[in-house]
Amino acid sequence: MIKSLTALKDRWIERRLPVRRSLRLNQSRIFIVPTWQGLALLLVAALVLLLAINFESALNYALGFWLVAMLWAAVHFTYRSLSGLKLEVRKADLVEAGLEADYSLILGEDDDRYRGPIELIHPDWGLVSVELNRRATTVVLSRLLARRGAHPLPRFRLESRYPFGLVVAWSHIQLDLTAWAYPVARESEPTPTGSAGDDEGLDDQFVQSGSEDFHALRSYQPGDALHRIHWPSFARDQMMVKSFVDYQGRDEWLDWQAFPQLPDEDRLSALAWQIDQCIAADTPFGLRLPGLELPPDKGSLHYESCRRALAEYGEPS
Amino acid sequence: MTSMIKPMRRAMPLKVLWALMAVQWVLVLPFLRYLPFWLGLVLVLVMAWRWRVMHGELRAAPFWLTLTAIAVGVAGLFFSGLTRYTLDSAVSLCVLGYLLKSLEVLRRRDGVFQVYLGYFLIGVYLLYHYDPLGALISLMMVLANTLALFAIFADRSFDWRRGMRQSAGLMAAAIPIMIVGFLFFPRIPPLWSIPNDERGAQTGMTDEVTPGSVSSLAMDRSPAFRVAFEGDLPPRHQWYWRGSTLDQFNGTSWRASYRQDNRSQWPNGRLPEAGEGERYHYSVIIQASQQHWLYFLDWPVRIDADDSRILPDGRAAARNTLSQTRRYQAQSQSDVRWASEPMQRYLDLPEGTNVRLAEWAGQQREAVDSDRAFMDRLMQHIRSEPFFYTLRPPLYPGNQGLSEFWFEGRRGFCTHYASAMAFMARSVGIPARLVGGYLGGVYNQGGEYIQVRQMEAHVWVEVWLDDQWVRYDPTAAVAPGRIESNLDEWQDASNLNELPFVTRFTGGMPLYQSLSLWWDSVEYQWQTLVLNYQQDSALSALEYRFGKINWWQAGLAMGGLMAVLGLTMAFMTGVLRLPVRVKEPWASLHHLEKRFGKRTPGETVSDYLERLSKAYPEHRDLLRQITAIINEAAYNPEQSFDKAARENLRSLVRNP
Repeated sequence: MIKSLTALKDRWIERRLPVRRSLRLNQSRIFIVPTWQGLALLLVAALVLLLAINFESALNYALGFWLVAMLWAAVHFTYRSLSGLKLEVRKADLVEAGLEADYSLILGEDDDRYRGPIELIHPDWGLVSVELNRRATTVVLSRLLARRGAHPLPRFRLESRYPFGLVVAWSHIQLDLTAWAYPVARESEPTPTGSAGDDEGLDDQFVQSGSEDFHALRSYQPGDALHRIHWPSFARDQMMVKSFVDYQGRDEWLDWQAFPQLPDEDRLSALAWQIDQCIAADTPFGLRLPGLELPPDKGSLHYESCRRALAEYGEPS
Repeated sequence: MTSMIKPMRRAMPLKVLWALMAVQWVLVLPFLRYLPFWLGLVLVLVMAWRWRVMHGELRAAPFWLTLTAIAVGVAGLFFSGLTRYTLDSAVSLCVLGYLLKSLEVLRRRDGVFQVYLGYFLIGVYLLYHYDPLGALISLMMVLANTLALFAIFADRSFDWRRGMRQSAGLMAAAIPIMIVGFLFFPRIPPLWSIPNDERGAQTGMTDEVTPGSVSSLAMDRSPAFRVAFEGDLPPRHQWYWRGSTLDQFNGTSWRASYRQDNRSQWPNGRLPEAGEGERYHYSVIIQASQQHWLYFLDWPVRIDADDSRILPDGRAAARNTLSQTRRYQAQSQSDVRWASEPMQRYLDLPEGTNVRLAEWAGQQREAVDSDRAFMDRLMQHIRSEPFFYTLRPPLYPGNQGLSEFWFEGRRGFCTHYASAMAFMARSVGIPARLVGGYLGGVYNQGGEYIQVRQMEAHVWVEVWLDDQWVRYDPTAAVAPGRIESNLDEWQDASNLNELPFVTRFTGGMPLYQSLSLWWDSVEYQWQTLVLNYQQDSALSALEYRFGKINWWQAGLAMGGLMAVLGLTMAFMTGVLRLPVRVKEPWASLHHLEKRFGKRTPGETVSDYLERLSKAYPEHRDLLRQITAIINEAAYNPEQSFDKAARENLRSLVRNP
């Protein structure tokens, strides 16, 4: 019963507050109720009114109603600190499964009002408090990614009790921001595949431009580095540049098919391990996954897209 | 993964603790004047501990400290005699609790508790101080307390100036609702009676008068009550304000039959019937005297005072202690018909007292043929013989004191003359009693009311002649000027040196006098408008205007008011903004887009209008014109996009 009610509530909230990359809080997103402390103020007001009645003290009537009216006015003040607040996603990390990933959000806008401390609450990170002082502020939410795959930013609660704690205004925020976890590297020997016997004539083949070995001279193009200019040619009035290539071995392809004996997740772990090895040896590599092929390359961008590919494998996009 | 601490259990940062301590001072200081000194001791103890907390020792006070503080507090309560359950001791206990609580203010919850206790304490303060100044002080206290509440929730970002702004803003925003609540909330009678509801010292007439005792009231310039007349004022020499009658004489002092301490035995009396002559309608606002006596112009024929009892001696008294200023109405006449009553108690004299005076009075009675002539002869005697009016008479002790005064001393003030005269009247068989009250007052021109001060306290004589009580004031005989002017003015004119220095000094300063008159009229307005606000007056004014109001109409009105106020506040705080009108030419462009579909991203205005004119060839010329105007407006706004062009564009777009 409770469970279905909770599910009903979740569905209602999802319908009311759909997922977006940026959003602005308005009256349809902000919920506001008095806190227990606010209700306690009513109790104090009642006691003061009791003083007023029993001692026939006119000024205590005024004080009592002032306290009640202050609770009413505080609703507006607290609503103000959330109303019009803009949230925007910035980026989320790609990390190895089992580590913490950071989700970055941008809260508020420049030249906006002072909003006091605002709290972002979720069991995964506890409570993150951020003071918005007329400036767009980046908030980082850290969250443990336990398993490989997609980890969208969960729906979290954003609340404010500023300035008097008498009422609490909150909203449930769901933003379209996903952190990815790539598989934990685990060593596995690839099974030699049928293509191992192929004879393509050369032991090595070069790929693209690199920095390893001198390959040939080519004519200068604007933007070529100064230290690559072939000065002897310059003496002959020709602007030539030395071009280099990197060589890589036959095993440059890290292939999904190389581990037929392993289940999917273990295959991904094995590939992650191979990527680590290649990075350590600083050799270029390509990655073949079912339906995806990343040509051999090096560099942090390439590493990231390979790892991202491992993380995304089999995840609904 | 961090665990989350509930908001109310979070520890407060140092600067918030500072703010809370400062606010605690603000709240306790106004009380210090009235509270026993040992509470100061507790205050020092508590503040010392808080100092330590703020210099590193972030924990609750150790058990021994709490115990010491409680012990000092409770011992103090006992030693200063506040063991009885009275309001004063309850207040002391309240302040003690407030101080002790702050020994352990570390978390938000404790801070909020301190603030809320503070609000209640302000309510208690208002029981004692309801003058404009007291209201102002409690306003400051509310502001300070709200600031503390702000500090708790601003947490690390707390800033004094922002806190002041926010707190003052909250209080200001709350004022309209507060006023409505104050005006329309029904004034319910007390739910239960408060035992020993005494706040501060008693002032005014006492139930017992001893001629020898020095009148301390003569030094007191504070107001006793204020009287506003509808219509004409009575002549100045008739400003006799009766409060109580003293009819039991024991040889040295006079005592009232209807006293504060035998309240339960008061009879239900009737006022004298109205006779001929002018009738004066007036309302009185009496200060909290902690007594029961209400004061009336001689002699009241009708009294409208809630919660009071009419006594047989021509006056009324409040059933409960006057611990708040209070307003009542009455009508008086100088000519009334008294009902007859048993006269024996107005004739009782103890044996063997003032023998010589009684003998002398007997001789005087024999020399004339009527009681009235006898009384006049006494007045004449005072006038012709060298009697003196002085506030510093010699002492006339013992039960022959009155003889001594009459024959040897001949110096005294109103009580001396009045008791001697009443004694002589009784000794020759004329029923007589003393009346305690006030004589005179200051007419406040600006406020159109008479202010009667404590220093106007007076005692005179009433004797039963020809089935009427007749007033005789021997003071009028010894010091005729005293009847027409107030004590301080009269003293100024005659012998200056008897009044206290301050009175003498300030009495001669016109600026001071006009300022104090002005302040008094402010207080008077405060009392009529705020303190004695009658709830039915606002409601009846409304009902007079709109007809009978029932509860749902009242609720609707309240809801409407709150909605209007809420919207106003939303605008003022910037939560709601009025939609800003889009300027030309963009408004016209939006208009076109609404009709013909949006521009594709990256499409210029010219391209867009070109596309439209292809799609709708029939409007081509019109669209061309529009394009020209919009382009002019966009690229050359100052020179060519004037009012005429705007109008032109608008008419083109809206009537194609």
